[in-house]
Amino acid sequence: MNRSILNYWQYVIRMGVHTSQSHTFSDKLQARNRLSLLCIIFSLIYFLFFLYQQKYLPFFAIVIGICLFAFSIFLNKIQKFRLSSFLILLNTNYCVLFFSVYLGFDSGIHLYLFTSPLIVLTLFDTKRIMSISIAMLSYILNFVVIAYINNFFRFNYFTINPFQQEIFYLINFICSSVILMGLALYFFYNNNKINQLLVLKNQQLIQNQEELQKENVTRKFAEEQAIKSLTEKEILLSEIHHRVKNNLAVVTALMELQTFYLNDEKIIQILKESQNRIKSIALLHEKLYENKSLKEIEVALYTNELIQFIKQSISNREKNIKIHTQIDEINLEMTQAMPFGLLLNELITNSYKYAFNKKNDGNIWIKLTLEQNDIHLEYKDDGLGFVFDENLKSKSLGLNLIESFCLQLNGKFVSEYINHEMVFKFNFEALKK
Amino acid sequence: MVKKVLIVEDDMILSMVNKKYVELLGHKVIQSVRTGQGAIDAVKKYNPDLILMDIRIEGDMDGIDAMEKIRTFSDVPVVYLTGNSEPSSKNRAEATGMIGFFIKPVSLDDLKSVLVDLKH
Repeated sequence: MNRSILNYWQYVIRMGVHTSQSHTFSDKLQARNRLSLLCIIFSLIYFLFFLYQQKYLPFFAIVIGICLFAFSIFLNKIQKFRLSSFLILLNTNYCVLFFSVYLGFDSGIHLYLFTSPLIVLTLFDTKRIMSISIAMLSYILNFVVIAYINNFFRFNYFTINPFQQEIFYLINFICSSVILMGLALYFFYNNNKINQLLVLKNQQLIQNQEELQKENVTRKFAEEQAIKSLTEKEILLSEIHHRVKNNLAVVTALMELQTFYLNDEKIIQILKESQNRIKSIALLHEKLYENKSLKEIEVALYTNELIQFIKQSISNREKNIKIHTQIDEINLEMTQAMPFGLLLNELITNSYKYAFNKKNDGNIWIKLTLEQNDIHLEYKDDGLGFVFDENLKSKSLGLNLIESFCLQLNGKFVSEYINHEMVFKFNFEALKK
Repeated sequence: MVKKVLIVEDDMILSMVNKKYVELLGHKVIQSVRTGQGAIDAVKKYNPDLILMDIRIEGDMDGIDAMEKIRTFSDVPVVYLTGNSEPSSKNRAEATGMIGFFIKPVSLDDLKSVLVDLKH
């Protein structure tokens, strides 16, 4: 039986409480329901008294009060929390005013007003200063009105004798004290609970912070390791390019040494040409390890240096041959830079060897442009021209190499002798990075 | 006038080519060494007219370190022949009063220009 009453009690005070609500809010909601329920219980004393006295006006008034308190609990159940709070505020004001006037100031009904600060804090969020102020003001005004009516009008709708008045005063004193203590205990308990919760959250926060710091240190270490590893790899790659370049320098030096022991000019010339091909590759590695990215080169810089050493190595350099360059800002990756360099080497060598045999001066034009992703190389000289055909190809390694390097670039080329100029036009696609 | 040239190069093939170039230009290689200490000793011993110095060489010191030590007792002209074209190396080399700085492989023309300047 007791358990059943307790269950009902719990059921009523948990009306409107939902798991999605915050801890603080659901506590406050239960406190409001508890308050409404206590008001109903205390009102029942008056309900029975007025029924016994057959005073129907206050009887109906108390019935209205009880119904309104019950309705405020219902409003919580249907999630109308603010409306419920204002209804409790209105109802407590109404009950205290009505019965203070009806039973007289000495009956002690006004004692309930002393619980109002805690009631207000139960009803409204402490952040809502305006709501709290209005509520407090309404209770103060209520007290002033009661005191005023008691002093100046003294309605005597229902007169109770001094003994009854003392009993009422005692009952109201006890009930208001119970409400006051109940609410005080609630706030004390709630504050303790919030404090404990805060301490717990704080500990969790400190723990999380420590874990984050540890994680941060670990990440920082990993990042440093990654940077270190990357730097080491970059140094290593740079060193590899450097060594490849040095090894190629040794190969060309060996060939150079060989030329010192040869008398046949034709063979010496062949060795020189081979040296230049190797030097083109060596220069590429040099430019690669000089470049920050280590995987691509600036074509303009590479081409200019390539031209310089080809000019130096050519035997007929006493001739006045000018090389004009017009090169867009293009970077090429290793896989394209090597065939490109070798292609250019062959073209320039070919011009120097054959184009200017019958004249002492001449011009070579190298134009490299980038359009969207297509690279266009236009190479021309104003020397003797020739027809690039299978017959000529079968006799010349240089021409075969030009064709091969163009294929390696996945490109196409055309050649023609027009207006006393031998023109080569190459097109190839730049590798997407 | 035939100049006495000291070659400091740890790669013997390149050393041979350089020697051949010097001889083709009509000068004499007094010694080819592979280390910085070897260079210091050779300068003290032969007092050469020119040093062809590689930067990255065998031993504890590089070519520039060796040249800094040589500078404490000799004003012999130096030409650096290096595979390393980094600006930091060139700046260090310049501080030792070089008369030439060439990236390997060095051509006959490169050496010729330096030796012609030396005559003046």
